[in-house]
Amino acid sequence: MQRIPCDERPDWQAKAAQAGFQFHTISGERYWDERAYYAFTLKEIEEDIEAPTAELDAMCRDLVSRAVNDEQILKQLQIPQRFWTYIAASWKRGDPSLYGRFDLSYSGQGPAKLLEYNADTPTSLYETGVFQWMWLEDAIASNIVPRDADQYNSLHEKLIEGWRQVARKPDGSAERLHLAGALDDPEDGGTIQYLEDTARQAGLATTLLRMDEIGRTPRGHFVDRGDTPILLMFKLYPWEWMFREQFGAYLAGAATRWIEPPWKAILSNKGILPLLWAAHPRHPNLLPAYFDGDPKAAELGNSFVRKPLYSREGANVTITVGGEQIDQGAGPYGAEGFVRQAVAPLPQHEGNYAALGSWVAAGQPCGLSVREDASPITKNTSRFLPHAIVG
Amino acid sequence: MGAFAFVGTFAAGTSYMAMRKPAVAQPQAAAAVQPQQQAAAVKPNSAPCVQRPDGSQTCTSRGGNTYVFVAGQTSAQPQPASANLKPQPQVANLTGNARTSVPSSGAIERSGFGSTAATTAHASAGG
Repeated sequence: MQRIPCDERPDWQAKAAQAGFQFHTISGERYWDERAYYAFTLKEIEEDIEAPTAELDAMCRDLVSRAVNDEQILKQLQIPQRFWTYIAASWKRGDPSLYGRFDLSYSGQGPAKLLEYNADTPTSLYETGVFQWMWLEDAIASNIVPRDADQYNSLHEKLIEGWRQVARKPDGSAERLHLAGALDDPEDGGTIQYLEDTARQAGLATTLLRMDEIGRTPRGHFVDRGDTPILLMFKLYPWEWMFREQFGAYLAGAATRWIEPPWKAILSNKGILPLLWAAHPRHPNLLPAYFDGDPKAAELGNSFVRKPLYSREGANVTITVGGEQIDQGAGPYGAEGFVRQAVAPLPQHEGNYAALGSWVAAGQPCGLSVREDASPITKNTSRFLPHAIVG
Repeated sequence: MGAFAFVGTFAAGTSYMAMRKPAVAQPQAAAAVQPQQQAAAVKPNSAPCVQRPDGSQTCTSRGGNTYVFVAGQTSAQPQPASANLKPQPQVANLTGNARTSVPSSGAIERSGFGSTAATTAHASAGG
């Protein structure tokens, strides 16, 4: 794994605009950054990223199968008791998942380590699946990368395949798909619209709406703006938020199937980190982790990363090394409790910390994203750099 | 974000694990929503009403209840049909009432999801 500085395409912003990739710059700062790319060998991708991702995904599913039958686990995860049956039913029914992203610390030296699993509402999807692929094509044409360079990236195709799987009805036809989220947020709105595009390529009829436009009938069913029943809904909106909002009380009685499914509420919780470590101690792709307050957390000594059970994009994460807090992400999370995880320093290149995102879609590992930041905590403002397989 | 169209253009050739990229991805409709349907308002059963001299109405309705609509007031209280139909002065405070949802299309409620993202601290729901 190498960071290789390179020339930007002179017209990349125009190409981004043409493609509809409007959040390449956020609050005046670069988000898409092609002033360098990360080079991996095929062996690194296949053995150190792809295979461990499949294994982590299997371990997570095994954890869900235990959690839905274990009140102690659900209590540890601070999942409200009134949703336990709803979540368990979703798992036992086999509600399908579309996608997820494992965030890894990996330097090319030693195994990748799981930092966390974005199981419910992962973003940076379009830039992974499409725009970095467009970069690769241009980079090959302009000799920025070798002519035989490749990319670990079938995310776009797997999303299309995934939609066909989740929308299929018993009679072979496809359910209409509703997609909802914070459409006014550039990144969330862009991600949802890209997902809608992939669903349409899968042949699905789609409807886009904001979360607050979802309606509830007196009989307890969810409908869209036109009062059309919502039977299959993708939501870029965390389960823990839905659980505590007004319509959360009606989830169990509604006919809507959700993507991601309710059982992802277990896996999007940072509490899975100590649970995975307890179930698979010393696994090469896991870091020692414990719930805050667990006496075993003392084994981490005075160097650890403290993460809220519910948080996203580095919010409310603190890194303590040698008893000194070296970085802290601001945010509104932490009321439900924290976990402590051993420190796995991100590789540092020219002052940039790089974290990998390893994607799963349609049940298969299928792509890679690289995020860089000047601080050790990866945040929503961390830059996205493309990658290539070059050997 | 306004009109927004992703046009994922891929060329065949370079691929990983024999993945297949579409030659030209389907352009996405800008406003990718179904036409805004006119809400089929579900109106409550029309009840025969008798206008009273004080401006109130007495209406017989579903379930054997009689609803008394008091002039100048905005809510109705169901009463058993056998109850005294004389309008009672209403003392409810009509100002400063907190609502977390807005009825629309008849009895359909909305705004039951989305309140967390509406706070500035949770601008993005993604991760």
